Amino acid sequence: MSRRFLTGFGRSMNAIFDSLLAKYGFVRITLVILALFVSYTAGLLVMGLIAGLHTTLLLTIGGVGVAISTMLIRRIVTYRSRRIGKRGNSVAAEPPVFAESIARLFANKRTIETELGDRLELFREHYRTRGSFRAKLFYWIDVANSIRPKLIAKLTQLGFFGFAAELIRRYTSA
Amino acid sequence: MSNPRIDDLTAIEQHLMLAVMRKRPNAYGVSIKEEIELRTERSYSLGTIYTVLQRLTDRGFLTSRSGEASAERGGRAKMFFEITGEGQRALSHSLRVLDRMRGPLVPQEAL
Repeated sequence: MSRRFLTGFGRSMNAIFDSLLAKYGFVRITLVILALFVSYTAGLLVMGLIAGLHTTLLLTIGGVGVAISTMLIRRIVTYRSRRIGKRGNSVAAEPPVFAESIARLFANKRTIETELGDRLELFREHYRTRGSFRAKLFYWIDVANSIRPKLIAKLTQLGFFGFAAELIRRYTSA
Repeated sequence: MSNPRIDDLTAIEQHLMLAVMRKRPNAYGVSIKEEIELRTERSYSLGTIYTVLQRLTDRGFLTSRSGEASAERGGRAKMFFEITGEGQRALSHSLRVLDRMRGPLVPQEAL
């Protein structure tokens, strides 16, 4: 097969996939891909357990499934980023509410509003330049990295139940 | 040696203080984070940055002042940081200690 044929094939597949995304929306398509991937993995496990297929063969087929799913998800992310780039309305973008609540729960009382303001500024910058999905992902990563040391310190200091009580106290006093 | 309070600046504290000096007078959370990423290729979370900035402020190495709120930040104000004289002394001392440790090292190829 020539290189030109492969490039053409790739472009046509991308175009078909993009039209499916435009028609059904990225959420539905992502869910379908995830569902297919889960059933694919379950099928492989069943085949491995019942039919006793060779492990190397199973791993190879599984690897192909992972590669295809990753490729499709990446395509969805690119498609979304392009659409957001065209829209470019970043000032109205809001960060994930749950992540913000968690960040609020763990932030230092003296700097809480400034820290949330900075995070929102970064979120809107990412939203404008990289799209909604990545902006939310970076927001979550920053929140997770911010709370991790505090979480470990509190758990070590107070134990699980003490920590739970502390969280409830903070939540009710906020 | 000298004051033990001055000696114990960690790497992240040094990075933050240098970034505050570089971004002066516009040193706030996001600009400090971006400056550190640009120069060290390390990414600290905002939570970590604010925890360390607060610690340095409590030790008297930095001062902070509140800026104006803006719509881009959801109506929340920025907090600008500046290094104090004591902070500058602590930073120079800490960097000098590092320089002394590095000293004239014997090059690897000479061994």
